[in-house]
Amino acid sequence: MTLANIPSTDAPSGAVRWGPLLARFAPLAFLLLLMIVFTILQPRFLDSSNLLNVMRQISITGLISLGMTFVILTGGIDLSVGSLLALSGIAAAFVAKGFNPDPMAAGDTLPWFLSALAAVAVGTVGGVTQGMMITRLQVPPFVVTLGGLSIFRGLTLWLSSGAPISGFSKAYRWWGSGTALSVPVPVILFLTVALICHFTLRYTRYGRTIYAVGGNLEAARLCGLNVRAVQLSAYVIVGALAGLAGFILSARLNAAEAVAGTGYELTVIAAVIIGGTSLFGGAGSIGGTVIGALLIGVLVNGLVLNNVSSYVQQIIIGAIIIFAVAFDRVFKARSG
Amino acid sequence: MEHTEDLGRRVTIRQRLGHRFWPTLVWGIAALLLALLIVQVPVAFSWANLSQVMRQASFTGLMAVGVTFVVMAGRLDLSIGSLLAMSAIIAVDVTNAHGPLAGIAAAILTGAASGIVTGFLVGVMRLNSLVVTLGMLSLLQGLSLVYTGGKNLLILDETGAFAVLGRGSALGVPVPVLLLLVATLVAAVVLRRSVFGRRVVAVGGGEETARFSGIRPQSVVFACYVVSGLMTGLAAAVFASRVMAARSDSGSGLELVVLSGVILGGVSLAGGRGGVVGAIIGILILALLQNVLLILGFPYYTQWLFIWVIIIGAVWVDLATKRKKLFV
Repeated sequence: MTLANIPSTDAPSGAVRWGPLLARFAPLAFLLLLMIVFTILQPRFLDSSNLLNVMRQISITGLISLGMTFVILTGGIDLSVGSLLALSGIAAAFVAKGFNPDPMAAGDTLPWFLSALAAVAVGTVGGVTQGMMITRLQVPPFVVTLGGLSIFRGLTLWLSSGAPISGFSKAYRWWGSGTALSVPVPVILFLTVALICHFTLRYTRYGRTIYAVGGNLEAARLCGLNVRAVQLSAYVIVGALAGLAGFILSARLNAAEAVAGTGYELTVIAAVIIGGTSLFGGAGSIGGTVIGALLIGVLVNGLVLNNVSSYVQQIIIGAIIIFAVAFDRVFKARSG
Repeated sequence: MEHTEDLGRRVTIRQRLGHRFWPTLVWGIAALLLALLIVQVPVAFSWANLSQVMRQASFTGLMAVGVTFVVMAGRLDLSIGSLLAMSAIIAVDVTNAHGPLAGIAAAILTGAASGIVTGFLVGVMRLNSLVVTLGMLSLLQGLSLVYTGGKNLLILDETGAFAVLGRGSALGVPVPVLLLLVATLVAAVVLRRSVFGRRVVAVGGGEETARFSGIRPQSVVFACYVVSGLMTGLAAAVFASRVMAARSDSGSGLELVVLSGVILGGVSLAGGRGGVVGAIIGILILALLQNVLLILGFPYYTQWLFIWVIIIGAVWVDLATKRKKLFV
């Protein structure tokens, strides 16, 4: 059999390859479609207050999704982000209260930036621990982060004794419920971090190593890249962002709850997948994740505006996730 | 060279055992801890307590029997918790209307239906099992909520025939445990000796290679999910019989318990390695561990802390043994 006899699976040269093209813009197209549909059903949807509301709703999970993008791009997964968020929130609250176990005392003993630092530090430590187990012990990410989900939640419940810690200073709370130029602070943070992540992934050498490791681990290793360090860094990033999100959430609610973040991993992973990042690693973008997060936010918001019960909402969200993965598979024509 | 002359032919224990050193050490420590526990907490090892633990573990065990097929084929199923709830709810409603046999059948059929859908998505359409089953988890939970309106569903006739399934005993052994034993035996034989079982192991061990051997991975994976669904449906019937009620958050989080037990039992998440018996042993060890920790007074979340440290440790030691290196 000569080369000429092997049937080509590529489109003839010069033809437009509709599949991947469609797939790339599908998330954005769906988002716009959803927004049009919801505006027709409820003109209130397009009110600036409602749109800002949507943005505010997606900011917390959106922050974590940005970090999760890095993890999934390297071919890993992190199921512990919700629990890590709660642990970080409790840590921030502890610091704010000066480690004083009286949770009802109003006001802070220590300034907000120490709380924020504590939250991010806890998240980072969580990320480092899991990352080390994944890269050094080579225990599968699924097992390690599933363990992390239980372990971090357990630590949170233990430290807080199950009770929420509330009552923070105005400066602390500003980070969750304040606005700057009438834009909610969490939204500003989300967009800023998104820009930084986008720039890092696309225009820095480090970003390229992320794609390389995710695309083909062996090839990356043979090129001399420190594969273990790159993988570890992804888990550190998502841990740190989960910590930040934990701080923001506690600021927004004016309370750090032990049950915070339960089930967040579903929303976070869904946003990344819907945004076009492949679970095999090596393909995807921050822009896609942002659109994915927006899509979920718009969907939930629109369903609420149309008085769809939260039970039905769950069905729809589950179906959308499955649909997104199916779409990704069908149109990207990737094998295996 | 001097070194050897000085020592003569002294051989260390470590050298004697070679690569079996670490697993032997771990098993030794485990045996020591077990002996310690038996001495310290004898009540945990009484027949009354053990049979209770086994009765409790039997529906996670039944679910594990099904999930083992899926994991051996290299896939995951995170929807079994929500499926348990949905099937249990259907079991309760159908039993109240048409009697226990119909109820049990309905539960098993619900499980099978979900298995067919998931099997199609993951097996035939070859979508990622983690995300799909996460989506199914959400979907099934939503369906349960819509169906029950968030309320508890209760069995109307608590003393009727339906109770035998979850609460009865035969020859001193609880019925659920008997069911588990039978299911484990059948599944183990199927997995090891039947053509289907060999195909499952082949697909898990290497999908491309299996395809070149003439096996169709799509059909095999599809069938595994149907089996998993069936077993979860059966477990749901046992659950509903035991608790005499069902609600939308029954079984919430059980998928983690079941998967933890299966992983502890040596079934590799990559597929192709392990077996049903190992998985059930893992489930039982897990249940016993939880029970002992409970008796010792540890709260729920601390139990899980211990358990996960053990699971991660177990997976690590297992992998380290295979690659003959502790750290990579």
